[in-house]
Amino acid sequence: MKLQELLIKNRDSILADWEDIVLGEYAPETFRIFKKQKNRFANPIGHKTVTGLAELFDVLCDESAEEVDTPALIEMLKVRALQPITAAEALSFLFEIKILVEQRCQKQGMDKHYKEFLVFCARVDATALAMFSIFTNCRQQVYQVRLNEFKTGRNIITDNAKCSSQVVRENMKNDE
Amino acid sequence: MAIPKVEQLRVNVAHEPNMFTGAIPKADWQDTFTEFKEGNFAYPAKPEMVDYHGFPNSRVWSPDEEDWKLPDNWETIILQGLKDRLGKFRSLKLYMDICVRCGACADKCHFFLGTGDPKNMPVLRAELLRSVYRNEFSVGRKILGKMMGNRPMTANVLKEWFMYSYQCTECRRCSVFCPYGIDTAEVTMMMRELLHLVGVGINWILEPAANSNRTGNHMGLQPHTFKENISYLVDDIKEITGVDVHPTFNRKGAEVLFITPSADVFAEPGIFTFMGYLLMFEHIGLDYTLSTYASEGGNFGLFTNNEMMKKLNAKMYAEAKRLGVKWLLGGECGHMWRVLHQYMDTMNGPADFLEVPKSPVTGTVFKNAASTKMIHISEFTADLIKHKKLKLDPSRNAHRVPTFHDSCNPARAMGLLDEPRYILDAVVPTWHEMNENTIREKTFCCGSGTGLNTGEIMELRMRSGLPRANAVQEVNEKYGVNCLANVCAIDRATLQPLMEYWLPNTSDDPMRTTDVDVIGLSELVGNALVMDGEIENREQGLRFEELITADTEG
Repeated sequence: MKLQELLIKNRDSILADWEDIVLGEYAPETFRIFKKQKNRFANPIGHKTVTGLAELFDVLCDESAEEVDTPALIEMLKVRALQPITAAEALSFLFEIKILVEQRCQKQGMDKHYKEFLVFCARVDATALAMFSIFTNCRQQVYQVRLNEFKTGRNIITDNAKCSSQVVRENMKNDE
Repeated sequence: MAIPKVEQLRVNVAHEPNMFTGAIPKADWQDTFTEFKEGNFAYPAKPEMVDYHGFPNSRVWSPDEEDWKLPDNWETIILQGLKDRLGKFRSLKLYMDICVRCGACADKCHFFLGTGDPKNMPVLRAELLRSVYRNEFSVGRKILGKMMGNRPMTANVLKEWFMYSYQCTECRRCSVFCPYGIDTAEVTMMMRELLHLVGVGINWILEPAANSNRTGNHMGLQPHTFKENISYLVDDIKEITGVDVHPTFNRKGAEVLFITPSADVFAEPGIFTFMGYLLMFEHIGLDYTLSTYASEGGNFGLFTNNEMMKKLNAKMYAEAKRLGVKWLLGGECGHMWRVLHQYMDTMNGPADFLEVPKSPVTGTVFKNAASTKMIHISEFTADLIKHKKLKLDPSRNAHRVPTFHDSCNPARAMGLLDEPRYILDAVVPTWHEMNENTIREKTFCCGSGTGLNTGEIMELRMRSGLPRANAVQEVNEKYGVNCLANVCAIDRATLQPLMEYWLPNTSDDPMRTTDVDVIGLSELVGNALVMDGEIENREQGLRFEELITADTEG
């Protein structure tokens, strides 16, 4: 069996394990809910994680796939870009796929396909770089949102506003 | 943020897949402590704000410092405060005792769904208070002790109260699912009240409350500024529609006093909603006045303590009495309507000097407001539409494909569910509902209510707003929804950045920041109104945006 075939054959089991790892980053009480609840409206993080991982897996498996920034993966990374974790923590889940695939290769006794596995790993590494770009775009978007608050003047109702008459008085004082 | 070491990263990735330490606990909830970092807490109140309200223990402090500079006897103050409230509010005692921890509420909170933090499960958030209550006040506390999860009041517990009572928008979605009807919002309210007793509060609530106390509105607008801002809107209406509108201020003997959130007078996109009100009042010739004193519908007292809420709300009836109006009409606001609908009558009533609201145009008597004498603009507008008293051209909103966001308080605290939808049917050519799990009584909060609409916690707001944004994403993809209609000023201020993050601009127009504009319902009404004496073939909407006309279409 070739590595490509193994990936296709084991898609569901690899994804299930991968989901467990990523959702397992949350507390046990949270994990139970995020894993079990399938309704996308009742469980947005769980849904975005599961669909994001599935799209990412397909990109990794399909050597003709050029684009990493698939819609569901972007959504998943948008969620992670808002969590109180570092960039390294937010993206490290990608490398878990190497371990998951390696485990299955060993199980099948596929040592002779070592080179294929190396190619797969190189693809994971390249994807990591692309994902880093997506992640930084998401972070930039957060800053842009903050900036928009000031550009539109909405900050006066969302940013510890001063009394407007105080501002007028201060301006008058500055003019003097 | 610290840069991780390479070897540490290698070890983590290879052997310890779980690197998610951050604020998300892995140990038992009682054994984890809250970590305050810049960005996960709203700034504490400035000492002058605490002093202004006459609250105790004003000081400079910060949640991310170990020492919160609490008064020496703070434990006694808190426990006495809890005892007093248990005696005063039967609901609190009930909510402390009857929860069976069934977990029905656990996954219903937008903060939990957006952060994954188990302490944001409503049951656990309330448990932060309940565990102390049981330890101090419940029967059998000595016997069962820690086995039952009881715990003494410590500084860490207090810090948890601060963290999680300010990660609750008191939206009450959880209470919809509680088989016992526990209103977890009231538990949050009590935690916040208790914290104020030892000088722990946030600036973005106490400062607007101080402004409101001094000038009548959160913005601190003085009468001349309030009036001047509205005059700018009157000018804009003239330019766009060619129509003169005639608001009056503090006019004695008017039939109706109209009160709305001050954000509608001052900031986008609320000002467009206000233009909608002005146009509709002109359209029907309503005999109304605005007050420069009762110039705020919102009430940040609701997020502080019950005494403050009562005090700030009193101006509505006081001004109605002074001006001699017959009844009150309220604008599009969220929490304002919880206060008006659920508390005003007992707090500030009886309003026996007012009459039961009766529409001067249709003759409808609003018996639902027989006691408070105050009705919602959507009730009033829907009635006008029902009696065909508004000349509407929905095609003027053809550039809008709205969905409707039920604001938590109007939906869950006053049952305003069908009127806004009835209005939408009449003022836009087409609109679409979001998923049924996210609307009406089950609506998801904007994530920034109860004074959490402050900039320093923007990322937290983006997290807590995820369930709402997620539902908007679906209708945007499915039906091309491009605007999010609502009836709340905080929604208008906070859904906009939420949309900018989750649904950023994908059009070629560099002026746009999102694919989904946030819009007050009354703006859509105002935009659709065909006014007497308006300019022929009007080309602009209330935001000066280009309308789809026969010319632009062709």
